Amino acid sequence: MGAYIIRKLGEALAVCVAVSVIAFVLVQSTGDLAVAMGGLDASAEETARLREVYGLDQSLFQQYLGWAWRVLQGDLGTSYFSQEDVLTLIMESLPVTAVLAVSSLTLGLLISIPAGVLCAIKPGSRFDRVCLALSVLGQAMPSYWVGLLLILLFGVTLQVLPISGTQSAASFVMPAMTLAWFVFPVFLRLSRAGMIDVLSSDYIRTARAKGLPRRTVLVKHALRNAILPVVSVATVQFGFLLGGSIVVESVFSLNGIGLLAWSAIQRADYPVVQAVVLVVAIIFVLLNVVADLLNAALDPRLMSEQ
Amino acid sequence: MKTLRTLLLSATMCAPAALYAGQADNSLVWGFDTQIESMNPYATNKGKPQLVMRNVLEHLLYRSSEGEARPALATEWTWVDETTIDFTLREGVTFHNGEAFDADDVVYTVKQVKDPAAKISAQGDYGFIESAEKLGPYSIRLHLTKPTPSAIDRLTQTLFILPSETYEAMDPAEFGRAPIGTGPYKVAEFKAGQSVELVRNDAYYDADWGQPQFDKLTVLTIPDAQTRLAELTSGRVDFVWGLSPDDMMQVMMSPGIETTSGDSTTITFLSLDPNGRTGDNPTQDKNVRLAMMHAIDREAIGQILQGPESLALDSPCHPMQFGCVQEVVQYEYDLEKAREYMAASAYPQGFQTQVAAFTDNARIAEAVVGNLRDIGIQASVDQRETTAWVKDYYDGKIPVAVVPWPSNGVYDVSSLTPFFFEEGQGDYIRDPQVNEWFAQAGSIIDEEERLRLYALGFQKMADEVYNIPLVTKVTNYGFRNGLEFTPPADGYPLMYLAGWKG
Repeated sequence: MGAYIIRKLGEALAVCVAVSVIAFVLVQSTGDLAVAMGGLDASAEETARLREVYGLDQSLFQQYLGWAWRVLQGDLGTSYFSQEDVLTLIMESLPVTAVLAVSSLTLGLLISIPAGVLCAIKPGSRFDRVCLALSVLGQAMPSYWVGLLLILLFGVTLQVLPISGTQSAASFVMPAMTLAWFVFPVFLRLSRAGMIDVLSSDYIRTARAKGLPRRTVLVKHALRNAILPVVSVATVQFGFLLGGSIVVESVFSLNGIGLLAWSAIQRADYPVVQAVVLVVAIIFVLLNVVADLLNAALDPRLMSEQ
Repeated sequence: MKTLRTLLLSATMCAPAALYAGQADNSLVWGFDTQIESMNPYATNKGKPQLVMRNVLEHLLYRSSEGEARPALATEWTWVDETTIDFTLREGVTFHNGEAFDADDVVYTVKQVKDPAAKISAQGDYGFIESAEKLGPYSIRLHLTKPTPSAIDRLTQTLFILPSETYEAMDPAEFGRAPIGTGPYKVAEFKAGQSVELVRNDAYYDADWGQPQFDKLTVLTIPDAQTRLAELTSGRVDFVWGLSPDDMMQVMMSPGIETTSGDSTTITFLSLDPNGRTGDNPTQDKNVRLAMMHAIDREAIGQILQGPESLALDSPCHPMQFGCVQEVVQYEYDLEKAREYMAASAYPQGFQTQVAAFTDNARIAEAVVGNLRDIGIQASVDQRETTAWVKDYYDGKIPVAVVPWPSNGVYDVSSLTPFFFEEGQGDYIRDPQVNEWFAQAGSIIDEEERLRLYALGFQKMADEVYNIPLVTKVTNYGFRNGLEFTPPADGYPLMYLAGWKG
């Protein structure tokens, strides 16, 4: 197990370095900070001055090395616009996104897994068909649309939930519902397919033949195996959600990491964009490692296979 | 989207009456579309965040709703010569922390904005200022880099006066979190990117325009336009601005909400490349330019995309600006004429081109593209990220572009001509005669002579169809009934001038 963990962490480190290089090159090539800072009416001289002041006149390689060296020392840089420490900005935004990610994922899993199991018990039933129809609907409706519909119902018409901001726990209800609606179809289909597959296997038939209670067969024997792909996908989805949902955070004015990244991209605030990409990549990679380890714990054969 | 709007509208009509706290507790919540990352006015080049900062930090002068320069921190000003202005400063003014305002603060601020090593976003805005000299405790002399007839107007829009002692003791980021100014409102709480809570400055001086009316003014960032409207109709927000014509129709039917529209100094024009700056291209052919001019329905673009108050332009400048001569040759929307010119051009079968635009100007580009297709020009929209557009446009790589120009709110065409018609970065015309007329007009004080020179330049531009002037931008506002608000002439609302009726 120890060697397995070390190998996985080594791979994760390599991915993080690769992501940092790609992010740096992409971010630098998509905009021009000096132009963004100077604005439409900056003269060529003013733009050149800004390049010099912010060290943007150096080669891309020099700029990357300087940035990477500072990152290794724990300095993610300073926002060119707010002049605030980037790490502080991220640490202020991350809790908002984390609360949203945890609540929406929990809500999504709490609804989709039981629903998936019930669908698998009686495939083709009316309940199964309704759930599948809902999952298609969930995939077809963009988060933006769902968010606005919820605002329309709960914020404007009923006026029972706050529409935007993060002033109270109630502010997270509609955003969490929106994202839960987004993850619901994936988990429903995975848990349903997994359960159908497992329920038709020999060991379940044996368990039933032995006269084990139905609940024990379903929960202890079937669900444990059927849930393996759900664990993997849930950790990946959690990584996506922690990366911030730009759309949902924007619709509900949640000052999370998605909105931070989006506003930084719009202003070409490179230090912020690079740091957000790096932090999200690290989180994402670590979550993948956790998923691999969890799967290995649930099914030890995976360690020897790899 | 239209279905959703209809739904939103219907729901709004059915919404239960909310308790609108704003008027009851004499506060106002302003739904803002832009994230404010710092309240240091020199950390941004954007006019929108600076609008909020204007409630806290002040300029030497302010612009009234009628568009005139009026006293703020300076009470009087005198032109000494073409490059020197003397200002008498207001006595007895204190910054929010008690620091007294005097000439040292103005001199210090000018030094800050002129420092070549300063991390200031829009240092170009202060290019017209050479230096400031203290003449006495409450008088300063401003030296200009060259004769700048628009200097007084520019000073209503630029140069936020900093408290010298306080600013010196803080770093810019710290000042951005807790700014100190002389303005009518003080910052009570600032949450970067989220909200700014301002409270009335009870020690505010006896200003020319009056006193701040609200006890509390909250600026709430809500990036999404539909969410902003939902907050307005549900009662949490009292004031929004920059509404699209579609949004206006939606808000107009909401109970308890008033709407109004006002002008702005922003214009748009279609930049062409008659001089081949990008290389050989069809717009070098005057017949093609004439065909495009007659094919584009400027009236419709203005009315539909901007609103009924939008003006179709004959010269690429705002009619409110000094020197903006609109009495030039007129080209009506006439597809027959347009097709005749195309037939007479070197491209009778049409040609392919792209119309580059950024942000919501792409809507205008789409309309232009539709018009150009009517005369056989296979045009398409090339929508770009803002900085990518700016970089390529100024590098001379875009032959056809929708150019929006706010002139920084300055009522003088000299805030526009140096960029596009005087060998500036955006000069695709490169007509030595036009350049000379405009350059001369921008560097003399004699108004009559300036007007004559600008007339020559704009008339030649129109005769040669060097570009296609399009429309003025309209600024739309939506706010709760009972708010006393006059739309500003320049499209930049100064909220400290507003208050609840009664």
